[in-house]
Amino acid sequence: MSDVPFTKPEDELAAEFFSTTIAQLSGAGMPERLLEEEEKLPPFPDEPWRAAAESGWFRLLLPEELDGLGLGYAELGAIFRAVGHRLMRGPLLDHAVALPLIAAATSEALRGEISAALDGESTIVLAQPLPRPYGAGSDLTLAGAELRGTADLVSFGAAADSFVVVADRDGETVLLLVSASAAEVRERGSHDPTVELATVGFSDVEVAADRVLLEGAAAARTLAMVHGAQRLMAVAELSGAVEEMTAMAVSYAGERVQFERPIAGFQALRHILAEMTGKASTLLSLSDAALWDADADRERVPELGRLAKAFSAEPSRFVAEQALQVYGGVGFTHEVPLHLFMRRALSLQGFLGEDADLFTEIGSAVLEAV
Amino acid sequence: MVGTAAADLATFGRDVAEWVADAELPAVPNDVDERFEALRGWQKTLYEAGWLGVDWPEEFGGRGLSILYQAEVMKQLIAAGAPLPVAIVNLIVAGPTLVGFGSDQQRAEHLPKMLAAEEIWCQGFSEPNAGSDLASLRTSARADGDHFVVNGQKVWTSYAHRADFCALLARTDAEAPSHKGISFLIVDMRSPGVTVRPLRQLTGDAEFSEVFFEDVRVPKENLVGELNGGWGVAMHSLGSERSRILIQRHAGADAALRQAIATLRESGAKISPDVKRRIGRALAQVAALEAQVRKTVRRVQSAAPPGALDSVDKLVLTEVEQDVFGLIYDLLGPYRLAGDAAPLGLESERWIHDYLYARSWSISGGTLQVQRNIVAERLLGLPRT
Repeated sequence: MSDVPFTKPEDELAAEFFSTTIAQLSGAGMPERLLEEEEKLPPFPDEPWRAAAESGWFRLLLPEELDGLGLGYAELGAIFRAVGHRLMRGPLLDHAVALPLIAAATSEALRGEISAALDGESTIVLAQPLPRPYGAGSDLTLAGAELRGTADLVSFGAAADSFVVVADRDGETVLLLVSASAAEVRERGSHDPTVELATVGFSDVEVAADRVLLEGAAAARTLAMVHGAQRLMAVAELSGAVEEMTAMAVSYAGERVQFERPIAGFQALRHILAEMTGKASTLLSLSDAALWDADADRERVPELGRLAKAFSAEPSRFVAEQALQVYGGVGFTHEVPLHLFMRRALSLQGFLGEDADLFTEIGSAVLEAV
Repeated sequence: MVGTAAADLATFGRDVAEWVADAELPAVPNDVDERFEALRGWQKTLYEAGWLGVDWPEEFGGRGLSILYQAEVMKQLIAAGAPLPVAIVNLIVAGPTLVGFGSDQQRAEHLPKMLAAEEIWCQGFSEPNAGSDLASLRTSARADGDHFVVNGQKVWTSYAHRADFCALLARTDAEAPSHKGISFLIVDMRSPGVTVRPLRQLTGDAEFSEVFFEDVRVPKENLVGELNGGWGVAMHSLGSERSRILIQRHAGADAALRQAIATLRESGAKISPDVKRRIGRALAQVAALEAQVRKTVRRVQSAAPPGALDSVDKLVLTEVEQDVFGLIYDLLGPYRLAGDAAPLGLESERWIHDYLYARSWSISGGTLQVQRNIVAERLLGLPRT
């Protein structure tokens, strides 16, 4: 893999997180390890996941007074950007983003339970409705104490010890902590090399009152923060993956010889690579700016996450598809790792909202504002 | 990292915002010459209030602050719906070039007047046969005693018909390799032998011209930088132009989009989901461009020389601008043809003009294709053969 071609974040701590994360994941054999394991994945959690827990990634956003690292989005974003460069298996967007934010907002008793997951001792993932129109008709609802409904495309649902269930109770959002033993979990195939998917169903599961993590305004506010932060981190990861794919394509074009010269000598390819560079540069700029702005004003996290996530799809897809074009036939095979990055990038396009839907939301908001 | 500088910048931004809120904003006519006059006066007002040349040295009329502060001024002008200064060549091309390479006398004589739009400058770089391949330019400057004698032709020279001075690239050594025989001269546009022929453009404006030089005598003290060192000065000038244009043009695209959205809202028209989606996309693109501006401003502030990263910026800028103005243009629907209509409240004359003008941005100042070549060669280091 080539060196990172763009300016590093100016935040020194973030820059340090970026380089140590690259080193840590490279040391764990990423991403080549995913190539070898493609056919036969070891059970999750695996070694890189445990190392991430030990490095404190899952406690990074948690305030210091709650035994967290009390750091910001810029630092966590640097980790995610590095993950984009090297890839990593696991429900990272749940453990490093959603759980610390929920832990900080919930009661002390339930925080203890989440705390074990933040140390990597257990796995807790979100079970929530898909954006409309997908998943309609099987909504997760809490009627009295009874939870029913289905969450699809749950990341590492089969490996989870518990779920944070995002349910509807009389039109209000409520977050519940529900043991996996109460759920019907069905594994399903995944085209994302870093994620295993499951469908998680609940048939009239009795949920005790003390399993409610958050309700009322606090639940809605925390969920908006969680989604905003997860989108920001997905974009940070994409910015890294897009840089990596660009660097891979640049490097390959310099090595591959046809017509007795490197294919990078052909202007048609030079222009594609220059365009990819422009896309990668902008995506990283927007990701960094959104992370800094999020740290400067936490209230803006939902808005910044939506904006950055909406923007990220187009450059990510462009770079993935054009990298494949530059590689030609060999890029279409598992002989080179490009497909891993491409599949991860495409997977994130649909995470927490398609770009088209997010754009419509953004446009509606400004046109209707008075 | 952010610390006191950011606090100062925020205070500075508030000062600008307060000033603009109280300022009397000029009307902006559609006619290119009327517009130029109105905005020329506005530029003087801005300069006298201390909002231009913010990053130029104090001794030459500036305030000696970083380029971040100048960017902040543009941002606040946009936010207030105020027009931007008109003498772009002064502010982003010729001025910064004189700051970097001019003699003390040249700087003292011209820089304050450039800021106040008391002098208007044009840029004499491109020629009919030297566009993307600028170094092949043929306009000559022959030494004759204490003067140069200039002969040749320039083209695409913006505001030449309004200009007092021209920042001219001319060949001073016909024998040297093409890059090494070029000098950078200041030419008084009122000199005998200078003829300006305005060219009518796609937009209908005649903003740029052909300029003919016939035995034009230019004093030798008007040489900027070294004799035959003009290519280096020009490259610095173009690089500086790109980063400053990025700041200014992001501001322009942002303002245009905000105005179009405000108009749509006021029109009360029912907006389709598809238009909402496209507007949302344009907003995200402008936000991404702003992020790019922020990164570039920091790079310029750290005194990094102009280079291939400026070409990356130009790729990014051009795509966003052309998309934004293309979107607004599309909102005109069948009224794209009509110059005096206001579909959905959008003034067709203005938006047709701005869309057409935006198409020049992938051509002027180095085409998109030339920028891609620069990125491929100098940033990515791709082998040529």
